[in-house]
Amino acid sequence: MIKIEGVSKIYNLGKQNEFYALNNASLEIDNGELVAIVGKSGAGKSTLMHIIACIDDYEKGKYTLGGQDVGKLGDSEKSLIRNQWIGIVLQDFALLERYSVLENVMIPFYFSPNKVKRSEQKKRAMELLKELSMEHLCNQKVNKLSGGQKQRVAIARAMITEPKILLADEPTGALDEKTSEEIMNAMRLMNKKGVTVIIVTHDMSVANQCERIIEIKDGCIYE
Amino acid sequence: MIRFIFSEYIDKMWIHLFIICILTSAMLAGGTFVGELSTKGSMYNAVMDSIDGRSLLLGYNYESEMIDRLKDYGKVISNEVYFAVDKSQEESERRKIIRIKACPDEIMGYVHPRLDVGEDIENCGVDENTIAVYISYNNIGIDIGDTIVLSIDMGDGVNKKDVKFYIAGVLSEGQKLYGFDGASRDMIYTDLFRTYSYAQLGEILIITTQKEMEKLEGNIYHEYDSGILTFDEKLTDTEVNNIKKEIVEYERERNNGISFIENVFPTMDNFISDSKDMFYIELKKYIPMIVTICTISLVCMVGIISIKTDMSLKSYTIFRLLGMKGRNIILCNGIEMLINIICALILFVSMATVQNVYGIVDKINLRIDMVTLISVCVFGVLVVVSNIIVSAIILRNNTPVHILKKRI
Repeated sequence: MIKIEGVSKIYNLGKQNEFYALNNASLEIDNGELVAIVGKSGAGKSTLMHIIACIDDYEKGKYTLGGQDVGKLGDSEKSLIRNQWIGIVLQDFALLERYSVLENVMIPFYFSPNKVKRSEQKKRAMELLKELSMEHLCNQKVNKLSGGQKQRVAIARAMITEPKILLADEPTGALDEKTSEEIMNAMRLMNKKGVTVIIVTHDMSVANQCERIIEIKDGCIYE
Repeated sequence: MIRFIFSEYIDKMWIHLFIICILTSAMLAGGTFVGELSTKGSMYNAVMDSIDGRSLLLGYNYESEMIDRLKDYGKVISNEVYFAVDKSQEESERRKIIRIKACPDEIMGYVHPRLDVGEDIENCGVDENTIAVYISYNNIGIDIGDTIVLSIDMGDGVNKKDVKFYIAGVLSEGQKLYGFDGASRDMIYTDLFRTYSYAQLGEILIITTQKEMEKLEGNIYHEYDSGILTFDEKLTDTEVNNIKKEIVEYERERNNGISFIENVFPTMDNFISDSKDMFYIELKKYIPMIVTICTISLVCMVGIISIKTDMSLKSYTIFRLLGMKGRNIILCNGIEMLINIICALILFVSMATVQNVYGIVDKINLRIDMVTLISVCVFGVLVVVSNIIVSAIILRNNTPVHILKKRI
């Protein structure tokens, strides 16, 4: 599903301070895998995640997602991929504090080309929140929730359009051990439903819970 | 998308109010400056469009018959002057002579009298039997909104005609109004405008347009002053000189042997070149002010755009992660700024109107004319466009995650 071939992300290309955040990286991830991408701070794991999520460009190589050459896609197509193919979960949740839990979960529908009735949107959101044991807080404003609850809302939001890939950037980074375990359970739950889950982390205890670990060091991929 | 823009806008209402206040201040500063510059420019254009090298400046105390005859030789623009007394005080020994000046429409089109209170003559919607006018400050109790009857002298000191006037506005003190007594060799365009002040001159003045005075039926006696005669191109120099001699004779006859045009201008070329020189010198004086205003505007723009972009991009970046197109984010940001600009523009026009009507701050020339409005709109468009460009640059150079990490 994800095929990265010799991809390089270069900052300040052609200048004296040229820097390879990702250097000739190659990687293949199949449908339904639960993968951890690990590495020290600055190793290039976030850069790799941004490229996979179609929110950053690369200077060399080829990235194919579901058979599509991402390098040839424009902003509109990439936006569509983020809406339909990839759900993104970030360390600091990226939720809209003034919206309720339910409203936050339903946001991706606004950018979806497939028009879904509001009642259907609500039904799907409530189902996801129920799976993540959050349905009782559906009308709660997000700023009233704990870190773990916020992250579960973020996961529900990422999954609302039924994407094939769930990308999580340090999803447990801001959480305590017990809450981290809850979030990993949620990730595994999504993986069991057939979603490819990719977790970017520097925490080996999180990585060890995944089926496959990919290590990044100085922009190069090791397995 | 509209829902998101609205929700975002409401969420950051205080920031937007702050931005609107800054924008309005910049517009007020710019508007005042443009008003000042525009006044000078209007005077210059009014004069320069009305004269050429063979024009002649006429003095005062001209009769209709003479002006009509001069119109055979070319174009004449001139103030019409009527003398009147307030009908209610006609019999009083303390009655004051009121001078009514009907300014040439050619000049009024450029240099409109500044009002402390009131509205445009054209907009006050009076009937066909009433003449809408502006009045100077006065000690006979005539004020804006009054309808008064004045007895206009018919030239013989005996016969009078009663005419109804509606006071549409009160003239600002110390402003330049079109009018001059005569000609001299070192005159320039500004000398065709006199500073009028009731406090200093003690003379009650009523000003209106010649178009408005055309409502008067029948031949009502009036004189002409401050005329500009521009000779027909077909006339030869000899013919022009003969007409000039004729005018000199007429002026001598009318003014106890004194002629204002005698020995003054062989041609108007000096007047034109001196006026041009002086106008450009005046413009140069404004350069430091232009630089200051531009710097303030630029600082305002940069500050506002920085605050706005920093505040707004976070939410829109979250939307981008969830599938919002980049160009829609830029559009949303632009629309938010456009709303701010429109609010600031409304506030600017309201404040300028209040200033014009009530004269809250002295000696502020804040005109809401086409030039000022265009300048302010250009400023607004620049702010919106800059905001769009800055948003586009930020989105291009940063991933949504980078933007969020910087701002969350």
